[in-house]
Amino acid sequence: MPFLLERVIRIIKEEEIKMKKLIALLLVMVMTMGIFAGCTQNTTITPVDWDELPYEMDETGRVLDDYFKDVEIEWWFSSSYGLNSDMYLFKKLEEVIGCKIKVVRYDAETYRVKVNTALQTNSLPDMCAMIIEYPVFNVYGDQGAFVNFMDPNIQSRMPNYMNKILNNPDCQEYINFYKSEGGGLYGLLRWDCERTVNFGWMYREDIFTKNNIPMWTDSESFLATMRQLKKLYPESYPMGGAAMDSVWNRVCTNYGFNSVDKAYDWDTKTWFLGATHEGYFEMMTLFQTMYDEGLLDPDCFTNGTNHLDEGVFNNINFVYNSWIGRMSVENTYAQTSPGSVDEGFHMAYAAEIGNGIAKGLGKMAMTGTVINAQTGKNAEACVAIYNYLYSDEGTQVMTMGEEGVTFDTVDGKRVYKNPDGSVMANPTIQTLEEKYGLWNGSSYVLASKDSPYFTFTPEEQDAQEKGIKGGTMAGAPALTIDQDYADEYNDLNNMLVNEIKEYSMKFIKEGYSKAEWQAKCAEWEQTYADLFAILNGTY
Amino acid sequence: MSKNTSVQSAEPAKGRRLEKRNAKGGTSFLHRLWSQRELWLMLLPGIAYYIIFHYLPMYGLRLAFINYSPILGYDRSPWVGFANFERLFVKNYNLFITMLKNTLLTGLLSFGTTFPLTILFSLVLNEIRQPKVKKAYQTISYLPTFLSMVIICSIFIELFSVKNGLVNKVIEWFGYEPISFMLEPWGYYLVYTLSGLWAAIGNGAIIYLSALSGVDQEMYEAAEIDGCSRLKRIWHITLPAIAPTVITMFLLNIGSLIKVGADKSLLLRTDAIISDVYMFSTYVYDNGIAKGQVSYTAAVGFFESVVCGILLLTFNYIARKRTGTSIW
Repeated sequence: MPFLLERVIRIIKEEEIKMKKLIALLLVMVMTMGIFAGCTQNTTITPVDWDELPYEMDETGRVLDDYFKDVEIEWWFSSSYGLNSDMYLFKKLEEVIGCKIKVVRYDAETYRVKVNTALQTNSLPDMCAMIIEYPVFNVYGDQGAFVNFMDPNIQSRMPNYMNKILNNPDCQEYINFYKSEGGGLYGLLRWDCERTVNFGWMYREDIFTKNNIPMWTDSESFLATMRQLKKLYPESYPMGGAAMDSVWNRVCTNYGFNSVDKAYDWDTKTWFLGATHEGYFEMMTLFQTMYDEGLLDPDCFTNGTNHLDEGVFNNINFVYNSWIGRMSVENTYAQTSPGSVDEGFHMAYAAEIGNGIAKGLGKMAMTGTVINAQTGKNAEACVAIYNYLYSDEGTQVMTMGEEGVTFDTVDGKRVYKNPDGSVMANPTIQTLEEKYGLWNGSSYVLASKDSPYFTFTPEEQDAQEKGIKGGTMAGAPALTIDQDYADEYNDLNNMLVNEIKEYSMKFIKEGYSKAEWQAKCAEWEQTYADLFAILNGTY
Repeated sequence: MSKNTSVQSAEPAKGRRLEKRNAKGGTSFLHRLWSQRELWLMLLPGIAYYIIFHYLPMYGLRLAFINYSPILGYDRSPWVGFANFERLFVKNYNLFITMLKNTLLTGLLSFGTTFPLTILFSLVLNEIRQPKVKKAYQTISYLPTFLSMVIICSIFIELFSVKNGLVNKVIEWFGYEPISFMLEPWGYYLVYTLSGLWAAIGNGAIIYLSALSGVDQEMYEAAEIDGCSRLKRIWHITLPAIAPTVITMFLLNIGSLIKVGADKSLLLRTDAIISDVYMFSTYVYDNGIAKGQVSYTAAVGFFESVVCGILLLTFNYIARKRTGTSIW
């Protein structure tokens, strides 16, 4: 018996060992196959015949049949908010077009990496906004990557886009700037979505009133005002700063040019190096003087824009140049958090400095949104979506929503509401994006003038009126270069942008005499002669 | 029943065939492979991983020699030969020299401080007699490993800020003017090095501490009896004991002299010092990621990798010849 038992145990153990070996072998094979299974497979896409319109649509672009019922498009967004497919905007578009929409949302930094990886592996979604500049994605467009909005077959499917943009006489002078070398247009264009004024100087109105400080009228009085504030508040740095290169690119129009690096003269229609303009020296001398005298926040070179709020709340700064919406945010905070800031705290829009000419906001912009031309019927659905969004109804849907859903009209006034029906306390474009998916930065192409974006707070209304009192100067137009010289352009442009940024910062810190600046200008003109020859088409 | 315990028994183990021997008396590869088949199967996923994700992608080095378009793909993108390298070394010669200088400076400062100070720190920790105190210091020093680079850089930017930074407050307390560290090249390198040291010292010390834990304590006792001071014990016992680990870590990290990451530089640099801190990695980020110049930046990356490889081969050879310790 013991012998038999021993034999049985031995057989079981041997079987067990065999079983263990078998399990180990199976596990290893599964793991190995798992690695191979991770490789993506190409799915077969049925090419589309763009010559014929296979579905019916009405004049708003609403698809009247179920042609897209089996289509699900993937649409990528960069957003700080949790956009998802269940939001109002996407449900509305699904209802109008008849397809399904899968919304994929990433934060800004992740989006940049995802889109670039997808682009370089040719695995872009059906629709997304490009991170690379449009001259670069135009090259890919000419190679067949994206839907070409200059293609007559595409244009026949987008009558609203034709009416609002391509056939709009006001748009004609701008459109060519965005076309590719092959004459294609691959990114969706945005038209007339800007306010009159969106950036400018803002100041602590309560401090100025309390100390009887008059508003400045030019650079000299601006400097005098800063000195006066410094005397009254010795621990402060009267002018707050953040993202200084953006500030200089806005303020430069007060000195007669429209960019510190690649500036454009609209009269002679030529590009030139903005830092060689006399106004650059005057502007930088002003900022350098302020820095030297402790009138400009010394952390302006490292501050994020959130430091601007901190500065004015704590009486460290009293003036800054930034986005005008900041005023309302800060004033609202002061009202809702009594005790945390000075009583009577109030930010208001201030005057321009220099010649008083503000930077005009261009009417046309490139959204960067492209439609992947390699996805067959999905591309058709995306084209249909944007035809709808260029209609009046689509514009309202994208920027306001819909009566009864996102807002109600009460006593003739529009009252926005949250998805749960409660009144929306502060309807801004950010809140509408957060709650309904509207106004995402890359997707809106037209804007209703009745939308919250054009419903100004008192401070913003003040800015719209004051901001252009002295007139406006148009910014530099969109860049177009001959792609044969793209490498030379990119190398020189990279050098130029970095060099001007560095020189500007050093100007503020160390100060340069006129002779030193002029010598530098001569050096730049030699170094970057080829760059501006490329831009001006004389290379 | 007697058990056959001898591995060199004249008779084959039950169930195994007699192994064939070759002319030199060894077993053939195939037979060794078969007899160790379970081990090879266990190794297979690891081998497959390295082949698929590390060796096969080397085909992507072709990017440096073509004008890559993701739409045309590898096969249809035009071949340009060494044009991308010519653009880097010849057309952008001044920029190349600037980037090389800045990369080497950053790498040397970073590696040159972190490497020896990590060893020193672990030696000091090892000398702490109270285990609880030792553990506490080790834990505290290891905590920054869990912080992301963004948080570390934000901490140091605030620390060295002109207005409210702690460092400038101390400087002002001594009666001096505050310093704009982030606007000076030397200030940038100081912050870069210190932040890197703070983030890495705890993590690096763990490796040396584990090597130190293997040192025979009797040697220390014998040395103490012989009248060796603490420093002499460190010099003659501790350091020789961890020398193989030090050399291995040196060889594994030598590539960081040229392969300096872009993320910290992008977070810490200000526009005032761009030309003083512009490196290959930031150039690749600015041009490759932001501007889609994949082929050109692949050439830059290829150059970095070749230099790293040369450094590694050279130092590995030197280490093997001089000390007998090497990676291969």
